[in-house]
Amino acid sequence: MTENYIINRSPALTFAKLKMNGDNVELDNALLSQDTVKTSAMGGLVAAGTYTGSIPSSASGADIDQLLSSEQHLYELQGNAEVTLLAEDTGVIRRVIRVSSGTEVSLIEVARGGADTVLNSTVYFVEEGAHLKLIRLQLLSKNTRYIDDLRAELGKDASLDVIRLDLGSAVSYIASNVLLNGKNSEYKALGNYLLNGTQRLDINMIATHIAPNTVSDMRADGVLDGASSKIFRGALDFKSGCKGAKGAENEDVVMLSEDADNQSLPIILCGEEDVEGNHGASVGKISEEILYYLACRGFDEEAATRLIIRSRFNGVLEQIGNDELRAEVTGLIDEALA
Amino acid sequence: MAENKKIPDVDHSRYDFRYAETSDEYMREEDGFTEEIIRRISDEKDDPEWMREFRLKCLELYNDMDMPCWGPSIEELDMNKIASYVRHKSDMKNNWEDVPSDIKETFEKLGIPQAERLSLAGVGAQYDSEIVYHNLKEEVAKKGVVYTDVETAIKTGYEDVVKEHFMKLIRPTDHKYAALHGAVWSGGSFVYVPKGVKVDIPLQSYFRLNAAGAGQFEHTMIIVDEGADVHFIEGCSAPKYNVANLHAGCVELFVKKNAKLRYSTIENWSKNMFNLNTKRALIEEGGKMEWVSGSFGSHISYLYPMTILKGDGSKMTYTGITFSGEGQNLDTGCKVVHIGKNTSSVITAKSISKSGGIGMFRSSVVIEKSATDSKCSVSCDSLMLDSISRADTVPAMDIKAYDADVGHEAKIGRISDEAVFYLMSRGMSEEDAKALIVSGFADSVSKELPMEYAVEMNNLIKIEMSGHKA
Repeated sequence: MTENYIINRSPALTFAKLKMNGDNVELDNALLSQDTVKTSAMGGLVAAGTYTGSIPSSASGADIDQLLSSEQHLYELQGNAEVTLLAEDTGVIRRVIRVSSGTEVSLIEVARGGADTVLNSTVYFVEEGAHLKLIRLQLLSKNTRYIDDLRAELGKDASLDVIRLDLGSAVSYIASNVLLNGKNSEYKALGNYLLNGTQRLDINMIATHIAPNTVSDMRADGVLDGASSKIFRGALDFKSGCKGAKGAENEDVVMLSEDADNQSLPIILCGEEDVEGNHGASVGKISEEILYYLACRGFDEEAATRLIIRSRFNGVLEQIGNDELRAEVTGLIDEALA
Repeated sequence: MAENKKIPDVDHSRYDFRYAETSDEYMREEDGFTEEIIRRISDEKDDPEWMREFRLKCLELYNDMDMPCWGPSIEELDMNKIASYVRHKSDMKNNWEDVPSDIKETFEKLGIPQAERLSLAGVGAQYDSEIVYHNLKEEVAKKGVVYTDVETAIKTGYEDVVKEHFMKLIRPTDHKYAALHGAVWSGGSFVYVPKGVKVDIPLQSYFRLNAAGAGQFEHTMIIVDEGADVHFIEGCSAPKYNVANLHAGCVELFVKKNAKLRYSTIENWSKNMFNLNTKRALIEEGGKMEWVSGSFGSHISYLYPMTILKGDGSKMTYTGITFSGEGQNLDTGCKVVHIGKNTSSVITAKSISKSGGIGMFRSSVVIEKSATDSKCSVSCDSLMLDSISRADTVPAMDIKAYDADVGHEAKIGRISDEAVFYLMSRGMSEEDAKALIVSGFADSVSKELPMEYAVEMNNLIKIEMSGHKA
C-alpha cells in the first residue's frame, strides 16, 4: 500500500510559505519492507548477527523511523573494507555497523543499481577511542529515488569522518544525525554533489553536541546545472551541558544554469553558553576574475568552467584509495561535465 | 574561568508606570473580536463604506485562518480576553498643553515632548487605540510633507491614496494576525513625502499601550515619492500587567524611484506583551530602504520586517539587535525578496540571550530568477550570557538566479573570559566589563541611530545587564 510520508523534516522550522521545512514522499510499504539490496564486501566488515538494541532517531523523520523499526543486520568493522550496495529492485537495507574501541578503520561504500526506490538505513556505533573514515559514493541510476538515512553515535574520544559524493539518482534524500555523546568526540562531514538535468537533492544533516569538548564540521559543496535543484538543511544542535563544544557548517554552491534552484536552511540551535557555532554559505556563479585569469592563459569560458568545477572534486577523489574505483568516478564526473 | 555573577531582576521603572483608566474618561470595547465589535469600531471612526466592508471581510478571514505553525507557541494568548479598542474621550491635539494630563505625563516621562523640541521634525503619539497628539514643524509642512494618522488622512483629502495603498503590501490573507489587523486597526501614522523633498531631521511616532488586557493595532503607511528622503522613528512601550496584552500593528512602506527611507524602531514593550507585528516595504527603481531595529521588550515576539526589492538597482540594509531576558521568547529577523536586476541587500543581526530568555533569529532571502546580478549578504551574531538561555538561528535562502552572489555568516558564542579579565585588570567590575562588551557587541546597531536614541539603546542594554536604571 502506498502511503504519504514526511521526510527530512527540519529540526527547527522556517516560514511555512517557503516550503523548506521538509518534503512529502509516497512510499510503498510492502516493497520497502523487503531487504532487496545486495551487499558484497571486501576487507574487514564481518557479519555479527542481528541487532535488536536501541538506535538513535533519524534526521529523515519520525515517519521513516517507524518504517525502519524492525531488527537490523549487525556488522563489526574490524579492518579497512569496501562494500558495494547493489540495488536492482525497490527495497531497503537496514544495518548496524559497530567500530570497536580503539580501532582505526576506513570503509568505502558504493551504491549502485537501477531500482525505482532504495532506502539505505545504517547506524554506526563508533566506540570509545575508535576512528572511522567513511567514504560514500552514490552512483545509482538517474531514474532512482534514493533515501539515505545515516545515524551515528560517537563514544569518548571517538571520531567519524564522512566523505560523500552524490552523482546518481533522480531524487536523493540524504539525512544524517550524528550524536556526539562521548567527551572529546569529533565529527567531520564533507559532501559533494554534481546535479544536472532535473536531478534533485534534499539534504538534512544534524550534528547533535551532547558531551563536553565535542567538535563538528559539516560541509556541503556542489554544482547545480540544467534544471536541477537542491535544498540543504544543516543543523548544529548544542545541548545544555556540551561545554567547550565547537561546531561549524559551511556550504559553497556554484550555479551554472538559469534554471537551477538552490535552497539553504543552515540552522544553529544553542542551549549552552560555552560553545562556538559558526555557519558560512556562499552561493553564486564562478567568479569573473578566475574566468578572466584562465582566459588569459588560453582557456575559453566553457573549458575554464569545466576545469574549475572538476577541481572542486579533487578532495573527494583523493580519498578513494582504490585506483579502479577512482578512475570510474573521475570518468562519471567528466561525463557529467561534458 | 570566571564565575558568572548573578544578575538581579530588571528594573523597568522608566517604562513601567501606569495610570488608572476610568470609564468617565476612557471608552473601552468589550473583550473579544466579533462582528458587532467591528461594526462599533467602524461607527466610532465614521469609516467610509469600503473600509467598513474591508474590516468585516478581514474578520471572516481571521476566523477562518490557522495559527502559524513554525514560531513560538502563543497558545497562552486568550483572544477572548483582549479588548480591541480603548481610547480617551478627548480628541487628537496638536499642542502638548491640550493633551489630557495623565497622558501628557506619560509622554513627558518617556521624554517625547523634549525630543520633539530638540531633534525631531514631527511627532505623533498614540495612547492605547488612538493618536492623542500630532504635530509637524511648520517648515517641514511647508515643503508639502504630510504627517498625520490614517483616519485623518482619509477625511482630509487622501482617501484615494489610502484606498490605493492600504493593506495592498501586507495582504489580510498573509497570516491570521494580518487579517485581525485589517478588522480592528486603529491609529498609527500616515506620512507622505513629496517628490524630491529631503526631510533633514527625523519624524517620530511613539506608541504607548496603557490599558491592561488590551490590543494595539496601529497602521503605519509611509509613501516616499520619487527622489525624496526621510527618516522615521518608531518607539513603543507599555506598563507590565499580569494579563496578556497584544500588539498586532502593520507597517506599509512605499519607496518610490530613487527615494530613500530609513525606518528605526526601539521596541520596549512590557514583558506581558504578545508582539505580532508585520512590517513590509516595497522599493522601486534605485530606491533605498534602511531598517534599524532594537527589540528589548515583549513576552513573545514575531517580528520580521520584509523588503521587496522590485525596482532595478534598489537596495536594502537591515541592522537589528534583540535582547531576550527572563520570560521572553523573541523570534525576530528579516525577510527580503529580490525581484529587480542589480538589487542588493545587507542584513546584520545581533542577538543577546540571558536569564532564560530565548532569542531566535529567523530570516528569509529569496532571489527570483529576474533578479540578475543581485547581491545579498547576511551576518548573524548571537551572544549567550548563561546556559539557561537559548540562542537559535534559522536563516533560509532560496536562490533562483544563477548569477546572484549570496553570502551568509552566523556565529554563536559567549563573552570571552580574556576580554572580561582584560577589562577587570584595568579596574572595571565584572558587571561593568560585561556591560561594556555587550554594548560593543551592539555597536553596529547603535551607531546607525541618532545620538539620543543610541544613548537610549545603550541605557536599555545597561538596564538589562545590571538590573538597575542607568
